[in-house]
Amino acid sequence: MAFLDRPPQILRPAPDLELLYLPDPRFKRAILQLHFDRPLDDGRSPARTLLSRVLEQGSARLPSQMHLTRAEEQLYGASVGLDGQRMAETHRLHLDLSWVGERFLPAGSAVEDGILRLGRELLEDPCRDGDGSFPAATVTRERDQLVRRIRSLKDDRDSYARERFVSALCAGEPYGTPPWGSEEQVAALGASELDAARLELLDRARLSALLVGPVEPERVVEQLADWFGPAGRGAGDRPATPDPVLRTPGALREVREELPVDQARFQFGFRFTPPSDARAFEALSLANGILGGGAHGRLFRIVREERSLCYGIYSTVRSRKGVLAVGAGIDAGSYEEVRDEVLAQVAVVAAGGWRPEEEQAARASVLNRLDSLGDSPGAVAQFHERERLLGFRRTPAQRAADLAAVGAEDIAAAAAGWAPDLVYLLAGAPAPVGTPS
Amino acid sequence: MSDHRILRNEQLDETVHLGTVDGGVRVAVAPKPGFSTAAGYFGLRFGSTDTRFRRGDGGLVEVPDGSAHFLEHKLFEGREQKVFDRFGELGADFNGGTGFRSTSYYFISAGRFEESLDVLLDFVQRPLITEERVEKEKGIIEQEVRMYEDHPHFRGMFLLHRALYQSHAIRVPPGGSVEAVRSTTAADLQACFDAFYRPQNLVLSLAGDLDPERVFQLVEERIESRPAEPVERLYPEEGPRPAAAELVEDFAVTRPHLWLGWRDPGGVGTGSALVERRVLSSLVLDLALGDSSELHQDLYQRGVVDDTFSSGYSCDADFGYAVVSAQTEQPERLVGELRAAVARFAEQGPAEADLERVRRSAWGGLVSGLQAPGAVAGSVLNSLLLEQEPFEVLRVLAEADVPRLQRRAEELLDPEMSAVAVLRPAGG
Repeated sequence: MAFLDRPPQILRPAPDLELLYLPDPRFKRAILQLHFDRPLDDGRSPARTLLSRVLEQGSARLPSQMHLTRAEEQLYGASVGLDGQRMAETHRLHLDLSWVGERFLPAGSAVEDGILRLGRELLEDPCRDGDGSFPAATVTRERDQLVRRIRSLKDDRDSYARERFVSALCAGEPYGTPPWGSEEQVAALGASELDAARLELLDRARLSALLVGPVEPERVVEQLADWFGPAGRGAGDRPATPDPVLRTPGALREVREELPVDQARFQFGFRFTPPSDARAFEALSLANGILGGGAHGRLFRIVREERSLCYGIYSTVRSRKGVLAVGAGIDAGSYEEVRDEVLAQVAVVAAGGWRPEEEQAARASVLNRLDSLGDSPGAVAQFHERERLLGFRRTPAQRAADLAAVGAEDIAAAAAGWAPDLVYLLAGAPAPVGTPS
Repeated sequence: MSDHRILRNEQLDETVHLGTVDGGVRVAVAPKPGFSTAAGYFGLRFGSTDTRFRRGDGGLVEVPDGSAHFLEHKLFEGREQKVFDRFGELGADFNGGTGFRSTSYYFISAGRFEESLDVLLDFVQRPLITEERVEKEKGIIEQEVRMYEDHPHFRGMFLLHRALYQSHAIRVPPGGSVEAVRSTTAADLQACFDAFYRPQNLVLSLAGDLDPERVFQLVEERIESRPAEPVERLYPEEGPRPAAAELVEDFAVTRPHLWLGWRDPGGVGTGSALVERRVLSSLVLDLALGDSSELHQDLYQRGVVDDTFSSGYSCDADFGYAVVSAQTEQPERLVGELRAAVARFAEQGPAEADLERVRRSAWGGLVSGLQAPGAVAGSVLNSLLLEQEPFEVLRVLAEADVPRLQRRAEELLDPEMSAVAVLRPAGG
């Protein structure tokens, strides 16, 4: 497939804004992602989290969620949204725009300019009071909702367990604190903190962007150049995103927390040194695939299929942060069995003790994912963004070639670098369930 | 092969070849030139609610709740080799799903289509169900059932089902209970397979850069011919009104979780009537309570609802209901406000301009959703299982008008057919 060999075009709408562009007329929807990166521990992550909620309430021209949603609906379900995520020690706020390609709309319909305008308005011309500050009622309402969100995180046991696991594993590291902060931090935020966060984001954040799908780049480049070029934010001293904080574990830590759950949530964290080159990265990817990267993984086959200890058990790698995490829902009474089996299977992979068909399945899974990329604009965008973040900037075909060059000894060496750090269990007495009245 | 016809939708730029292979399986092939992946969806109208049925020989069969879901698990065990391993060798993505009325299995593969199709057709048609294999699976399914039971959304939805319906089988989750799982036997599952997994009940939907003629031939060669056997499904008779106005359950949540539902008066069967009911009902809810509605704007700005608020419509041949859900400190107040807001909407009806705007948005969502081969194959399978023409939803959406929406709103949002479910913080 042609897309496998095709690198994204690199466009520069502004001096410090790189736009990766991958046109593809087969897709029915176009995607534009604009990333704003700041250090996770710069003290403003909670403000940025609340800011994204407040900004989504409308712009000066469209001063409510109702007006904004109506504008999106008029544009045939085009969408604009703001969200945040943590990536190693970086807090990324992303503005996501998407719209249906004009080939699939009634003749004469045009939506691209409208959604680009909407996206820019949210950040540059938000809904404000006469004195220029965010409306107090909006800030109060969204702040209270965010506080309730934080408080109710434990209602979703899986998300809560994952968050508590990360907090315990990475205590003392920026990554160990959720970007939304604590209830108290959010409750202390007001309109002035949000405006300061917005201005800092526009002026000081590291920027990057992606454009994928049935779209020509000219209008997007024009808009971004006007926004972030010399006439807009212009040049400035913008700090690089922070390096990941790495940790060498000592003795295995075990943390157990209680919540009235019926099924216990198990998480096991390992640390490793992030791979420095593409070959080591692929070895890590294959080692994870053999261990628990899917239904073909050893964990799934042994812990689930042979021992019937769980419904699903998988491992995931956060390669830049140097963390491998194994997660499963289990019976609390099986904790030690599952923990020991995970350790045993990591040891098997580190010793090169897998069967050839397991390695073949791990390779086939990665290759299938690479070959599948071209059918989804979101997957294409995600692939090239990750390559940019890792600094490899490969095409899918180049990544497949790197994968082919990895041998069994490379895979075992990658797994041998996994050092057990912390096991987390969220367990407790069954929830007190009442009889329906 | 018989009944071969070609369906073309110019707006979507999609084509589907439809036919029935000699074994009796209905097959759809959607060519997607230039796409890397190809997808296969294999499904049938047999789901978790089919726990009592009469075989062709008159014998009555009763199986534990969750049997369809248990059977889905066992099919993945394969006969000689686990399906996980077979798809693993091919690198294909795969999974299965059991609903109230249907079960489906799928793969998505880049470059290994024919081998993946072989696996799919083989494991769905040739299971090996033994007591030993069934016993081994119980621990796995028990964990799955408990995972869902621990989830407030899932738990609350089934509390609402129990409030809305007196005896309908959707009162029970598709996986059944832990006790039902433990009581399931190999004979139960074999009886279900023998009754329902017959070529005449199966639908195969394929999409990708495929040659339909060749694919039809491949399928024809791999379908095991088995005679049709009539099966009578025995469902409990449902009462005319909801089972309860309100059900409350104590659960480990930080604040009350609320579900407010309106039960549709009876079902409309499958086919076009069902797709029309689904589309019109969804439009009604979007217009009445969606983010762009004045009612939602008012409730949101007054703090009655927050970002946990959502609405939706669910239906099949013999049931349908609208539901709104939210987390709130004041469930009674929210219920009162929502009922008043919905009554106002049903009385006033939608405005033409609002309908046009919401229709545009729905159009964009439908078009965008039918992009990759996997999405197209899945959509076509669902349509065929429900005796609907693929992409018929676009026609229904285009034909929706204010009078029909007004009638749908009045029928659907009947206060007499409404019920509430609340998960209350334990100890609160």
